[in-house]
Amino acid sequence: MMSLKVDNLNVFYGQIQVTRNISFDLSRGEIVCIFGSNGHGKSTLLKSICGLVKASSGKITYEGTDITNCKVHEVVKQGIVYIPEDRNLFNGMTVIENLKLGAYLPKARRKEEENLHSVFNLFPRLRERKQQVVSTLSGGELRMLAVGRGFMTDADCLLIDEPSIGLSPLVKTETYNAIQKIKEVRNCTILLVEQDVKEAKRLADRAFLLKHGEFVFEGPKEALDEETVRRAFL
Amino acid sequence: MVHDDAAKNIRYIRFFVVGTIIALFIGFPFVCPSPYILHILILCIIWSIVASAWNLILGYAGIVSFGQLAFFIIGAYTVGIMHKYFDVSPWIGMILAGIFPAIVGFCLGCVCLRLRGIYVLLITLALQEIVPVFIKWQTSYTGGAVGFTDMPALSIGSYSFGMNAVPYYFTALIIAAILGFIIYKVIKSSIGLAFVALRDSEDFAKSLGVNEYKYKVLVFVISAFITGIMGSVYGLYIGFAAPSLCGWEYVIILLVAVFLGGEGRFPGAIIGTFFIISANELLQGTSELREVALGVTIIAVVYLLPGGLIGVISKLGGKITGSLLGSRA
Amino acid sequence: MDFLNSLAVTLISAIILGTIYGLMSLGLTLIYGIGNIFNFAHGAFFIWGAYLTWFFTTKLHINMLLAIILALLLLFLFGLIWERLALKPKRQNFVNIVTIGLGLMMIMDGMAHYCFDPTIKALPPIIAGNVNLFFVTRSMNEIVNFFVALAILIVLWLFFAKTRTGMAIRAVSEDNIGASIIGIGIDKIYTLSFGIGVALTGLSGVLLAPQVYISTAAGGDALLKAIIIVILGGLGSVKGSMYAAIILGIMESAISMYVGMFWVLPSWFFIMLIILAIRPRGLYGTR
Repeated sequence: MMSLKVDNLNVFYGQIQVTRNISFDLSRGEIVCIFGSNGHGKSTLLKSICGLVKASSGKITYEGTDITNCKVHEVVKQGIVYIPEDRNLFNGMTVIENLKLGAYLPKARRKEEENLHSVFNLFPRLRERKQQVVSTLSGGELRMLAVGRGFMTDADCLLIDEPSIGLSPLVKTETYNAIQKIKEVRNCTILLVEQDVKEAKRLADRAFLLKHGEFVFEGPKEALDEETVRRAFL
Repeated sequence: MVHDDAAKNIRYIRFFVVGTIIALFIGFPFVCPSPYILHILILCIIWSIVASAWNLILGYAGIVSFGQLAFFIIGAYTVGIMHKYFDVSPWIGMILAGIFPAIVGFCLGCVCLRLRGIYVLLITLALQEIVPVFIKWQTSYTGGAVGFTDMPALSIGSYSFGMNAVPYYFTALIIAAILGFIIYKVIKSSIGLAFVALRDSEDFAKSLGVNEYKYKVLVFVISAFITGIMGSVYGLYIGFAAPSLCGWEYVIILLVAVFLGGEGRFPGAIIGTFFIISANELLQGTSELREVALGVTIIAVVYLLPGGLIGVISKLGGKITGSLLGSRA
Repeated sequence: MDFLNSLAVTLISAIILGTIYGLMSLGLTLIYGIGNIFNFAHGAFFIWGAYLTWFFTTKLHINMLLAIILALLLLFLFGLIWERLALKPKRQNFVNIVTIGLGLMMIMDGMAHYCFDPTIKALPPIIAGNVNLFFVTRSMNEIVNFFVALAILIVLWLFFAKTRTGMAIRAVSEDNIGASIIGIGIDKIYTLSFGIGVALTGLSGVLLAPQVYISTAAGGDALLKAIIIVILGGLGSVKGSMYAAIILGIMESAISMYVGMFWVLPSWFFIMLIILAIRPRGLYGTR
């Protein structure tokens, strides 16, 4: 059962080609990790799926609908949410306001109470800091809020960009546990982009290695051994 | 070898064209059929340098300053006031008309040093709005809202220009040529390069050691100085100065000239001025709709000519014309 | 007693003036804070609010309240259309947007000259007559203006704090990427904000009209004052503009009462420069 399908995606920043003929597909309920070091196109890939970056050629389909080069808010309507590395939270507003805004779209609004409850179960610390202004939160809490806000959109497909970056090992584990739970709660499809292979590996059903805009490895996570990873990153 | 010949040919053509233009300018007043056309030409000469000075700060240095007319009007009033109340010869007055605005420009530059683009816009706008208000109220020296009408007539030795436009034409032409040459030299020099570097990639330029504060203040001072002098020339030629010189229609005319010429393209602003001044004069008379026409014109210019006239000519005429008109930073 | 009297007059004028100035600068702040657009035509919308209201009440004999609502509606719609057609394509380039605004101002000023003859207009006051307040006689109109301005500000506060659209607008101004990735259509928000901003500006024109007498010069004056308020308060900060408006309102009242009208604008300018020297982003500036 194919959920997200990417065909021959090519993205250019000006003259520079960032992704080369990327093709892959995800099934519903899968967690897929894309690994790669900086600058090799991981974020660009996610951004082109959600519409923040224009694809020069190729096709992106979600649940049968062509979403190539759709406007960002249209993609959200289709059920895909992008959770950026920079988080892009609303810093002057409170935690609860950010979460409520996550449920902006009508379909998300209908399940706002229920989803809010789930988010606070996933991230108890956010419940404690409900009325706090976002600019006062710690790095880990910001990350949780970003994921939580994404969850509030009631999306079936989450694109998560480097969720563990800059976090302490303890918080990293917390975050990954939360992502695992999200998938269980909602059976959503998750596309994760990461640099930290070891930790994220246990989440993934399948893994890809991205180098210079192309996949140099794809397969089940068991096949991802140290040697392959080292070669890909170097 | 073929390249050498081609380059030499382009240079010869360039000299020829420039020489012809110079000859035309010098000879024009003697063959000119109507004093009205001469009048428009003088206006074009004056405003084209003002537009080029604005182009220096807006186009080359990328600083969103909308206060040039404040310098212009200060220059115009300076030469008049200096002559009337302090017996200063208008020729010296013209230099003072460059210096006083330059001082204001220096202060303005210092104030704007650390400010973000929008704040620079707002402060320069505020300045351009406040100076005429100040002039209007300060009636003892300036003549108030009515304007300052005691402009001296220029004279060289015992020959007074009187009401004859021709000597004013040549005065304006020579001063414009000198100031225009200064602008050209600045653009071509390391100063000009610093302006563009700071405009296009500020962090990179700073990391190379370019002192952004020095250059920001410098561009304000230079453009203020030049604009002030042209203001005095204008005041002397027209015979009076009034607070209305900071009016929006002048702002638009200048801005259209800068856009038509292409932001950051030197001869462009001059050519652009000639277009818009002529167009403006043609429209004189239908007062309210002229404002509307000016507004529509500038919006049209923003949409139709993002690269300016020079950009259009370059595309149409190919390399030779483009390099003839040259100097894109 | 006389001194106390004049002090009371000054203070009351200051508060009234400050509140209305706050409303006037609000349009400018909002449009910039949300869409990064400097609305050069701010003064033009200011006078058109007054002119339209004058036209509806005096020429078409429409009831005052209805006239104001109609005028604001027209400005709002015009703002929506203008933003979508003329501003949206050039949003990425700041100088282009400023220039287009300048063009709009010329067009609107020219149209104002053309449609309404240049003799200075006076709007009939919303409620005629005077009222005595703490030993001070103020025209009823000013009192009404004050309360209207206050009411509008409260409504706006509620709109931005409690309604979904209002929160969405705040979200876009905080982080427009963040807003788009949760499904907010940012183009629509920019257009809406411009419409709201110009309608607010038009409203402040209506409120200030009887005191200021409407002409295109008044437009330039409004623009200049709004600019100074917004710089002082800090661009993008509504709270900042309100505080700045009150401070400058007090200054204007005090200075025009004790020194002379002439010194108001220069004093505003100098206060602004001083504050900017200490805090380059104004009192509460975020951008």
